[in-house]
Amino acid sequence: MKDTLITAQRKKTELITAGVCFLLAFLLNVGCILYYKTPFSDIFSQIGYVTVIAVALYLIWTGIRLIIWLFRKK
Amino acid sequence: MNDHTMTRKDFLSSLAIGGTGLALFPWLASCTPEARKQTAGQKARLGIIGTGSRGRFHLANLLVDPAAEVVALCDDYEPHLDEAAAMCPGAKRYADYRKLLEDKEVEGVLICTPLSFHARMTVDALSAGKHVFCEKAMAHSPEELRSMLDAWKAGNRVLMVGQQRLYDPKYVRAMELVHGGAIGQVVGIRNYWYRNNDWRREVPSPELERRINWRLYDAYSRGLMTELACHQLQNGSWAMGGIQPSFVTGTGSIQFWKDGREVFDSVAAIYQYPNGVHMTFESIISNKHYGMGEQILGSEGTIDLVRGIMYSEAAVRRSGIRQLLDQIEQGVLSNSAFAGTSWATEEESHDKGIRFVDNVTVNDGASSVGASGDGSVELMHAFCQAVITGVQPDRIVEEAAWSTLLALLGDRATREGRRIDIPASLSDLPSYCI
Repeated sequence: MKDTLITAQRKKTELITAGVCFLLAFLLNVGCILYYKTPFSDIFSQIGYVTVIAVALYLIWTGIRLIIWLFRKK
Repeated sequence: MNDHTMTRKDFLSSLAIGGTGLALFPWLASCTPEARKQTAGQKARLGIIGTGSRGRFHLANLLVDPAAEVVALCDDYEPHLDEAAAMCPGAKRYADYRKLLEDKEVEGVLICTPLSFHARMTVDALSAGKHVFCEKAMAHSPEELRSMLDAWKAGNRVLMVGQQRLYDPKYVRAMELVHGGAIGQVVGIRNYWYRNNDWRREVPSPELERRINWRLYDAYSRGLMTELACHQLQNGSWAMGGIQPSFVTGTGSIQFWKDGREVFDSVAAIYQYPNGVHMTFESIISNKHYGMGEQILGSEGTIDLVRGIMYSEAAVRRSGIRQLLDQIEQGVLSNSAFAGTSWATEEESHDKGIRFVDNVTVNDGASSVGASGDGSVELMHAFCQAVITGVQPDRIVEEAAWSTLLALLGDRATREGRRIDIPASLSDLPSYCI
């Protein structure tokens, strides 16, 4: 089996992607708090939902990138 | 544990300190630890008339009750008598209940026979000076019910009936909450009992069909109303603080089990109370998806009696993000092509409720004998206590008589498909006798 090299650039890209996904989920939660007029304590109490949404966004974005990569490879 | 939750041990302890429980439920006085101490070491000498499945269920409970000694067994169906005798080899065997009633050793009897025999046996037993525990429902007709009440009032013997919910901590606690105003004003009572079996028992030879499957025939039973509804209708009287419905209407049919039976396999009855509150009972025995349900609906909450949970009417706060996700889910799953925005399913409450008793046991309804933890053990012990002391538990006969009468009149309403008025008191019963 061949050693796999993850470059510093790749790590940086993935960390930024994950961070952006979390930020989007976090902003969605804040938006919902404002729209549905619920307490601001939900910023912390709903962190579980935020995390799940962030992971979902990251996976969706990864899927899209994978499809693009496959097309480019052809 | 929260403020509304209690265990069986808590329940018995709370009776000891004379809380609201005993004022609301006086028949529980014999369950207090003090009352139990007073009769410690004494035994009620009992005979069981009818050793079928229910009789043996009680026998099994009595055999482990220190206040009970089963001295006689009676059944005219030998295989059942043999099975009971195997459980209690020391007991005398009788094939005729009148011979058992002549037995001086027997202080009290349990009548666990088909419904149509309850009245005659109870009257004979009370006349013979025996204390009586009669299985529910009490009687096969209002006339028979009248004769049982007259016989009981004429003597000084104890009469108790197999309404085990009266001794079930879950129901007692629920009624304490109802009467304490926890769910506001009672605005409705819903009962349903769904099973998916033919209600038949195996018959060794065809001539025994009616004896074994007596529940299916008019001459012996009033079907789902006396066998199942009788338990649940009692909840209404209990929740409404002793006020009885003014009338009942309903319908029934044999729609699935067309096997020669005479009683309905599907019934729906509605009882209306003087204040306009409705109590419903529905039973179908060809679909068990929803199982058994008994719900007291209040203006401020709902009590699920079967599961021991109280729900609040107050809106449950949901976070903004949860609301958004629910809306997305609803949008994805709803079928707008069918009805559009003018019609939408009204959501049920999201309140998870408060469990107000621990260790709630539920069963799938397949057994028609009895369930564990349903108050039967406490009921049997209370009967033993009553036999030993000779003290009639308060109000228990009235509770049972009303539930039987409601079941019988509900049966009449479903058979005749018309509204049947319900008497204002049990003393008006003779006018209902045809």
